[in-house]
Amino acid sequence: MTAAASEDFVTRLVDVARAAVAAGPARTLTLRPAGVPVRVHLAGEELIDRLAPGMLEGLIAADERPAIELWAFDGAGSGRAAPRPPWGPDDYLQREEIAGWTRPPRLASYSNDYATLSVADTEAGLGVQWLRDATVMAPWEGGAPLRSILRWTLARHGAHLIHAAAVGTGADGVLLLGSGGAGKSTTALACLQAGMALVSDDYTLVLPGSPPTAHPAFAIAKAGAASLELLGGGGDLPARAVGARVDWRGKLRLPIADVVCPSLALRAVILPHVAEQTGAPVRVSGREALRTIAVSTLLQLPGDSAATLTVLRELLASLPVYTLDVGPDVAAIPEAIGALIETLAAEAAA
Amino acid sequence: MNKPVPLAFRPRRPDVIDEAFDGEAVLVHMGTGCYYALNAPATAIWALLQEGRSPAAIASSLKWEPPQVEVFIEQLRAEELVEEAEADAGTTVVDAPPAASEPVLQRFSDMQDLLMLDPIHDIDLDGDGWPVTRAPAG
Repeated sequence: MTAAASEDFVTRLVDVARAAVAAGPARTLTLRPAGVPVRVHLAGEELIDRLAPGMLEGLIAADERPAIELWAFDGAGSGRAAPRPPWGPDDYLQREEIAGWTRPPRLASYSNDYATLSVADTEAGLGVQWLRDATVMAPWEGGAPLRSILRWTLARHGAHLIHAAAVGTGADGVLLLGSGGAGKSTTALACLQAGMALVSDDYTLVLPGSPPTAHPAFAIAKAGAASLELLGGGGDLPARAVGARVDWRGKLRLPIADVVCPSLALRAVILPHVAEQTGAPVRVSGREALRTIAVSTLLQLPGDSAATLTVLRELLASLPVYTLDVGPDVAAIPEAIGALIETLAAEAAA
Repeated sequence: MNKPVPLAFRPRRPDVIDEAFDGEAVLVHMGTGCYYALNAPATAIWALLQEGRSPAAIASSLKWEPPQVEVFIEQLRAEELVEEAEADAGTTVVDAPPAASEPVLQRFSDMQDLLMLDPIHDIDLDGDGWPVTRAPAG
């Protein structure tokens, strides 16, 4: 496949997306993930209803040009199909990847189960998601809308979307890394309920630097019934849970746009681990941590895997890494994390 | 008659990605979900393989006996981490770890289940050229 053929496909796909938005109904939102101005166009009532609540809106000045422009439309709602793909039937790979489209500047993925195409041109700052039918979209889509095209296009601006939670106190925080079920969400919500800052419970934007910083990408946190029961009736979680939608795993999607913290300076990486009792953070080697979390983190998201592995390596090399047993005594979790952050922030300031 | 091009083995891209950490490499095979930890001697070989050096050239560069390098490369081939390629002279200078310490490739497969949840489907195309999922057999 030539570069010209790839470029031509992206151009034609964007043209169809623009036409779908122009025909309406449509909604345009502005976002500011990690400070990058992004404009998103959603076409069709179904897509707007399902995706808009998960987007973390942010202002773009009237005279400011968005660095990234994204579109989403579906065939059933708009009557428009994506143009014929320039790749063949043998090019569909594992993890929804497409051969020849796994690295910048042009990336694409296709979910066969949910007939969803994601395509981005990172140099042009353009991305499109096309679904055959928005009523049968991937059930996790609402919690992290357009995550592939956001991730690919934001990486060019130095902001890397990774499968991690982030919490903190004041301006300092920690990144929580681990596979699904490791306890990231419960830990993040326990910290929020204890009055700590929450950036994200699932997907976090990381800007490498000294120190690296964490930023929110989406406006939703998720909580299962077991987590809510453990977390008890304190804080405002019960109020957030009222009327919240339920995701594909029966977890509630809690709206958090009003409380989400825009930025934290990262002082450590924590690998939570579900245990019988909450413990104290235990220092581990960054190399061991990379081995432990690399695959589960990389498999979450198609495309540009080498860049994500590099970011993980940089984080784990530049920050102290700890494991943390998290148990049903959830009140002990924010205490342990808060004390660690306080110590590390004081060291950084000294 | 042309001199035969020396055979080398390069990392299988883009399936295999790698990062060095404290002088030791971590490899991830995105096609199989397996990941690998390389010790310092193994990492030295890996660095030279990336340049397309032949096994003989790697052994010479590290001042090791060729069989030490060849046995390790055979392990990499068995794991489908490298593929045959034409040899290149390369310019990287790698600090030679002592030949007494053997290169070790540690393999981890505990995350393979995650990948197997997402198998490649049999693909049929609709009239617009987009995949139609076949109904599961049975």
